[in-house]
Amino acid sequence: MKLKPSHSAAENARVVLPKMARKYFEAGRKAIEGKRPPEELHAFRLETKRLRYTLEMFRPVYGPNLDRYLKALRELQSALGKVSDYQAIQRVLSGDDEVKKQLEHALKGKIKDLRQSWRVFDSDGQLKRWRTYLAGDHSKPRAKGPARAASKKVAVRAAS
Amino acid sequence: MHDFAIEQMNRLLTTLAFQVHRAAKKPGPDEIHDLRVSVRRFSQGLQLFADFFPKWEVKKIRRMLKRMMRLTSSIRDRDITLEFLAESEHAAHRPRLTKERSAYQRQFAEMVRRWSAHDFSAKWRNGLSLRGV
Repeated sequence: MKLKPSHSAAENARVVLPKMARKYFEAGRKAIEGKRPPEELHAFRLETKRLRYTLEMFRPVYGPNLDRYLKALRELQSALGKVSDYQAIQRVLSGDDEVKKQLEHALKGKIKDLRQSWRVFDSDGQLKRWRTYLAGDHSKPRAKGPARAASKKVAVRAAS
Repeated sequence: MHDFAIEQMNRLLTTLAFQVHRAAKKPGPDEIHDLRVSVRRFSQGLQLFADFFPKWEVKKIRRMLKRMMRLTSSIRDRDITLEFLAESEHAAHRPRLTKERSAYQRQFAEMVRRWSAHDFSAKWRNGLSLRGV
């Protein structure tokens, strides 16, 4: 991800962030769909944090509408965090067979929840909405427009 | 863009320095968690704006942050497990984990002591030339 010193923060954000979002969705599809090793899910969890923190850094450029996108990411991050917590507990208590079964059962449930969260996050047209919004010029407030309309339809689990 | 990068990094470093001192005073689960979040945010800033800062300085800081993350990860894993054990009423592993956590906490205290002795935030601010915006 290359930022150009000669461009403003807004110009850089409009070029770099839509690409970052596309790569993020692709990584998520790969990591969550199908049976993947836990390390891949862990790597995707870190990607989620990276995208969230990057978007937060560019919040002055996008303004409060960005919060809808951040909210969707936070919800996904929370589902990923629960899976990660159980994986950590498994590591720490690896020698205990009694707890092992309980943990495996709990982890399966958390992975199921995560897949559900991902399906909402990556539902029809979401990637396009993300990319349209992030590529839009948000320096002037607009009554209507593709980016503004897109921002209202971000998949957030609570609203679906 | 350069000013924007400096502004963001200044803000992130101020938060990181605050969280380091907070966790040093009281290294509880919440404080360790918040510290890890601030380390990740600052690291992401370093990665994102890497081209605006001296390469060597960025590399050096990221190495230190990585060590901090590795150490606090051991503490965090035990905090999560202890919380799980408390909820599920398994008592067997608690003494061992509490002991392990204390050992990692001592290492953490030593690391923070070294960081503070070198006035890490002032050093990093100078190294990254974050002053003056």
